[in-house]
Amino acid sequence: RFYKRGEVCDRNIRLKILDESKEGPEAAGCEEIPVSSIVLAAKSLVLQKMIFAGMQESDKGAPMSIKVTAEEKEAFKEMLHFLYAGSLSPRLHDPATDVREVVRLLVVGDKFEVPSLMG
Amino acid sequence: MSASKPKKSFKIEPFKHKVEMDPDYANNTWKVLEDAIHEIYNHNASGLSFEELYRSAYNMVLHKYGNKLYEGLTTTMTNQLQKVAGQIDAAQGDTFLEELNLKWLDHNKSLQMIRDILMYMDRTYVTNQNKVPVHELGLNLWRDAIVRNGRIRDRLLKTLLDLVHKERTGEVINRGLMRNVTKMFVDLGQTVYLEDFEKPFLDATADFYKAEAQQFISTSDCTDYLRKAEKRLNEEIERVAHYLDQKTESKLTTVVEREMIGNHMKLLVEMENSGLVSMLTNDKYEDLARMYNLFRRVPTGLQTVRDLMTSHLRETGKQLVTDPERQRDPVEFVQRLLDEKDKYDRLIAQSFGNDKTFQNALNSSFEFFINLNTRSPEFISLFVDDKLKKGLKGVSEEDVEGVLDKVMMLFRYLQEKDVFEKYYKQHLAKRLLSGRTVSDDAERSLIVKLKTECGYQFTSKLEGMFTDMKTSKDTMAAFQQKMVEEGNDSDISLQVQVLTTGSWPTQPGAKATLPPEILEQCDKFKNFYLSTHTGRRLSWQTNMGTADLRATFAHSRHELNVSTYQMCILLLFNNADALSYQEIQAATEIPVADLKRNLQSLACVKGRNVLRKEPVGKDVDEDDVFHFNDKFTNKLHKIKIGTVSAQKESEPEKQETRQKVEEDRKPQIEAAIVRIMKSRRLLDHNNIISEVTKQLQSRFLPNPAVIKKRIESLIEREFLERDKNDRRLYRYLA
Repeated sequence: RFYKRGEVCDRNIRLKILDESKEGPEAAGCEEIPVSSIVLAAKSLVLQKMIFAGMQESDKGAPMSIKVTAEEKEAFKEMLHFLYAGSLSPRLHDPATDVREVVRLLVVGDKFEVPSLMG
Repeated sequence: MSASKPKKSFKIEPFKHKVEMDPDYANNTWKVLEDAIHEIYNHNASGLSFEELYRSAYNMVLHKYGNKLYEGLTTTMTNQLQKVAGQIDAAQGDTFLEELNLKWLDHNKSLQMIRDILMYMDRTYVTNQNKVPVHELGLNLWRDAIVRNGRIRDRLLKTLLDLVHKERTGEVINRGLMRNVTKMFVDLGQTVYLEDFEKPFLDATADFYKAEAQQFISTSDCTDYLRKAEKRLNEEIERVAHYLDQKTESKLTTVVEREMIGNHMKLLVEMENSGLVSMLTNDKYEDLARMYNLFRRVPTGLQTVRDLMTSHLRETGKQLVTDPERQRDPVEFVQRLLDEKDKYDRLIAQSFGNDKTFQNALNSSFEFFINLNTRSPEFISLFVDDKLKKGLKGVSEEDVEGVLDKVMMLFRYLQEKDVFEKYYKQHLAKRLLSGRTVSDDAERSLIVKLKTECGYQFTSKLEGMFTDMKTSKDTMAAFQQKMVEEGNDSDISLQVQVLTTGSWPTQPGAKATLPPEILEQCDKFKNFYLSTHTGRRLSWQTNMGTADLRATFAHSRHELNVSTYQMCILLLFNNADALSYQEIQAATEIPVADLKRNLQSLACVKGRNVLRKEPVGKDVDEDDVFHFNDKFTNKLHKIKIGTVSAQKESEPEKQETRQKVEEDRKPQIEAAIVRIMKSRRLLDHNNIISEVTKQLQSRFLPNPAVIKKRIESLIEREFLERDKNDRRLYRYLA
């Protein structure tokens, strides 16, 4: 993933799958993604607030943990791609890809207030 | 499960499942958020997970629990703020304001976080439902719970006003704190600032300055008072800069201006020994500037100053022009006027910022009082005469222009410009004929100025005089050359100036018998002149000439510069040692008044008494006998013997000039009437009067009664007729 290439990364995002049925331990499907907080803050209003709110996520030593539903996970990663690249990943351009994946990306974009992914 | 999601409304479909799955979801989630809000207020935000809170709020809104979220937030925050209100209220004395400020800053910070967490709600639910956004809601709640809290409200206001009062009375206060608190009012909205703070603040300000103005005015003079007022005003402006909303400045200064200046204007300007009049008389530029700047701020302030200045100017001006002492010396009289004008010009420039309205007031005042004295035109002309005769010697060209410009300025004030013209003509004639004008350039420059001011008509005759002088010079040169050629040398050198009748002010019929030797020369010139200019008529104006005589006395020889009349008299003494008044008159045929005056100047003036009169006395009588004064001495070789005559006109002369002026006005008025009637055809009496006055006011102010007479005369001569139905209407007869 080319957005991981950069040396600019200063934080990790710990992406966890939220089990909707039971609020159990989030052991399953945990992934850490190095990111640049500046890029995130610049592109998403919610992530910006998250980083600078002065709550847990502002602790630069720890990874930012973000919980997503299972089907949101890929969409979130696509969003990260979009935040860096400014365009959709080639995979989503493939006509074979389910259009619902694009829709999910848009939903996630709306949730995190990424202006160019919103209405 | 997302695989079964329909293609439309993707967003909502999957979450519907969740709602069904977890009925307690909303309550649980809200509980999390509510606890978080409390934690935030307790400064424990760093332990919270933004992501979790945001996600919770996000989901609540998605699950249609936006309303619950919003209501919950309102209640929680209200409770929280009520607690805060209790804490603030409990603060003792001075710490009250600090506590309030502290809590306010806290609240702002907390509110910021809460808003960030609820960002999704702000964006969707609040917008869709037209609710108050979170931030504003927080401010409103603060306003109601704290600022308008029954126990805090009055205490807060009193504390603030006390602080301002303290500062006004010279104490140092914590301006930063003040600034924060007033800023709070502004942040809570303009109306809160205006109603809860600014209005009571302005009222208190008015009370404060009302009292202070009362006290100042009873203890200070005008200068001090204005100084204090200015200081206060600057303090208040500074106060606004330090800790009030910028918009308050104009209101605050208005209050101070009203209380300190507006309500006491009359009292201030009329203060004895220190008010406006005293400042004007003592050239207190700085004080006047201060007064101007302060009074400018209040309505009718400048008008008050201007009115008093005008009445003062008119009063002093009136004294100046009607003071009989002053009228003895016209030059001094005009100089005083110029000085006065200079003084006020400078004053308006330096203190009143060259305010146009003040300049107008100055001009109208001058116009008012200059015309109070009917002799002003004459005096101004005499002033010019004096300046052009001697006053401008050794003065640079620019200065000359300066003086002339000033004179023109006075001239502009004159209503009776034609009277000035009359005198100016006389004086100019004297200057030209006696060759006493110092600078031709200055003369011409003034004519040009008059021309620009009053038009060609006004100066055409004056210019004609200059032309005559020039032609005469050429003629004389030709004449003298011819005399030399003809070997017609005489020890009398004759200088003739040929004056065009009409251009020059001539006194008719002033005939005198010239001595034969002169007459001979005159006839030669006459023949010479008429030979080149046929069809003209020359008549000798003996009353306007001068002569240089060489006289031998017992101890010395002198050259005497005398008038033509005096020359006639003195030449009689070439053949006689003593002559009686009657003999002199018979020989010279000089008019009685002139003869007496000339004899007086020859016999009665110390140092100039080339004749001796018997009996000795100041005045010349018809029985007097005159002797040649052989013992005459004077250390000067060249002696000018003036004619005893007031520089100013004597009373009868004045009457005569007046009459001439009135006579000259008649055709002008008639011409104006005809001009007007020709274009209007039909006009009523009052309108004619006003139009004629308007047309002629650049020259003089015609008297309505005179205009009426002219109209009647025009009716007689059938230029006009009265309307048959309406007697007040006049009709133009072509």
